Amino acid sequence: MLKPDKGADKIHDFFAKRLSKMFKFTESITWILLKRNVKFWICASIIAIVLSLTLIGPCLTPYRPLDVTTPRLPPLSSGSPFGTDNLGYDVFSATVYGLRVSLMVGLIAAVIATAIGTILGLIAGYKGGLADSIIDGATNILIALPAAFIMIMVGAFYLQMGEAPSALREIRNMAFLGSMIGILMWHWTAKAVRSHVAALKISDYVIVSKLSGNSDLKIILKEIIPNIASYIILVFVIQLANALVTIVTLEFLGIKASDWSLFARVMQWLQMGVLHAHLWWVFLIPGAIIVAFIASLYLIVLSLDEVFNPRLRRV
Amino acid sequence: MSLKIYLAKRAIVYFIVFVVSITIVWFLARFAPGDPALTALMRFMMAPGVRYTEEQIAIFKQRAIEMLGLNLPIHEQYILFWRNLLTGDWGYSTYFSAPVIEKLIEVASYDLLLIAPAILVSWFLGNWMGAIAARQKTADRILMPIIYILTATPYFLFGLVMVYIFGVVYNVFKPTITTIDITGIFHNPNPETLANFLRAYTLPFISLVLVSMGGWASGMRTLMIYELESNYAKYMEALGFSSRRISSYAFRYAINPQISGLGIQLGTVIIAGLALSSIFNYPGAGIALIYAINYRDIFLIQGIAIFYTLMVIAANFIIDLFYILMDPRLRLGFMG
Repeated sequence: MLKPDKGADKIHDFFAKRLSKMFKFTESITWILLKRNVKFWICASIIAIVLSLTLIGPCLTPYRPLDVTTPRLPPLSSGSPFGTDNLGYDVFSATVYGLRVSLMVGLIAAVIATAIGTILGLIAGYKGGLADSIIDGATNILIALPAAFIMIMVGAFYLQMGEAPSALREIRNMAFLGSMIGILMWHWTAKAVRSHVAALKISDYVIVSKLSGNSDLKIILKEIIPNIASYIILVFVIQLANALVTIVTLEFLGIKASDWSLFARVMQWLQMGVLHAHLWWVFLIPGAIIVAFIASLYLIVLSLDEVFNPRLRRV
Repeated sequence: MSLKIYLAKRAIVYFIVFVVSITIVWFLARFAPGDPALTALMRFMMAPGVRYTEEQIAIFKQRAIEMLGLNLPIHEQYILFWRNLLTGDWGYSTYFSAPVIEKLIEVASYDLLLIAPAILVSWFLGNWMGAIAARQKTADRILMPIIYILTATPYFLFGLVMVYIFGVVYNVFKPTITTIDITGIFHNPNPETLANFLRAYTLPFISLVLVSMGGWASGMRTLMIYELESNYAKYMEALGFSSRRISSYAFRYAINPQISGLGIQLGTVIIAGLALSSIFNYPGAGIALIYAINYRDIFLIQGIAIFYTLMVIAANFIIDLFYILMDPRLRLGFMG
């Protein structure tokens, strides 16, 4: 029977210390590069500001989005920091409540698209054969299918509209619209995940794992998913940005999940003639916020890519 | 893979896409809650303001059901839909009080006039800009934020800013376009109609070009950076080729995904173009679509969905043909 002696303990301690030092994230090259990456911090703070605006914004304003106050107040007036429109609706409350709806729908769409895409990509890449060709065919059809027109058909006839505002109907509409957009956009994720998995499948450690008798499910969960997790997160962020562009355009065309969907109201404001009344803040402030948010999502992926991918490091 | 097999394969994919998307549209319209087609037709048959008895309404409903073929078994309804589609009977728009197909041909020709040149110009400009950004670090510093903000901007928002600045504040261009502004130049070409046309056409065109340019430029930038870091580019650099020469080779590789990307992005660009042109009141399908959605004009929405889907599929096939010309692997596979 082996007895651990003092020397082995010492060696063990030494390596444990070394290991803990090695894996301390704040000293890794990734962290140093990340810390230096100004772009990342600007984008992260914009995302944080917009998110906190949607979360705590409703507590900061006394008005609900459909309350009428003094008309034509310029921005930065007391009570309505973003001003009011020509009928007296407060732009700040319209923005925070409206952004909630848009971001929620975008989030649902991105989660669903990423989930379906990852699962189908894993199946196609790992199983190959018939499953691969079926999923590949479905992706090819989805790519060539002009999904926006289907979204318009569904949005125009399947969203429930009623006279009285109702929270339940809104939540159902948001979930419905979000999942519809998600179902029509998963193919990007599936294609990307499939190629990664197909490359990982023939790597040595997966083969070793297979030879040691692990089930397919265990290999996927233990060996493959940890390797593509960071990549999936990046894809998720891009999906979120794309979904937001889509939902904002749909809202503008009149496909809205809620009565106060932000850009459906921007369209109403336009039809009421805010352009010719020179009320620029009514469309410019909500627009600038959503553009800043979406641009930050794209740029944050880019800056993370620069940190993690040595080929793109331009030092 | 020989060229013929490639073409046949693509044709089959597009045929499937065509059938699938038309079927989805039919399915969505047929099973929409509240039977919008029936409601629309009954509203059209009954004179407004007249009070009808219950029996009369029932008779109208019966007639409407027979006209739409809703009493037939479901597979015959589907066949009837296809027959109507192929014979040009696309229903009647309640908003415009006109047959859908006539209205569609009218709005689609306006949209082609705006969107087709805008897509081509933005594709060329975007790729050129992306290549420059990838090649020169100083240009990249300035260009990259612009490119990414343009990509992130929803088209209609950019159009709004443009129309506010150049249309309303400085009255350089027309903030609201009328049909006469666009058609005048074709009926009666003279300097005055040309000036009118340019005052109306420039803003929507520039907005569309600038925003979609951002997407192409960001894609091209990434592709070019990858190509310039690859082994063959490093080897050429070591052999002493000029950076201009290396970039021209890298560009040749990087352009192929951009061509297929053109086909993929087409549907999105078209729908965004519709939203954008509605801001300027451009006489295309955009403004018609907004009214159709608000007034639940089912035949018009269905018609726009089908017609523009067909346009996208046709354009995709043309792009595929162009891709064969561009990609030597496919071309040489045919020749050798």
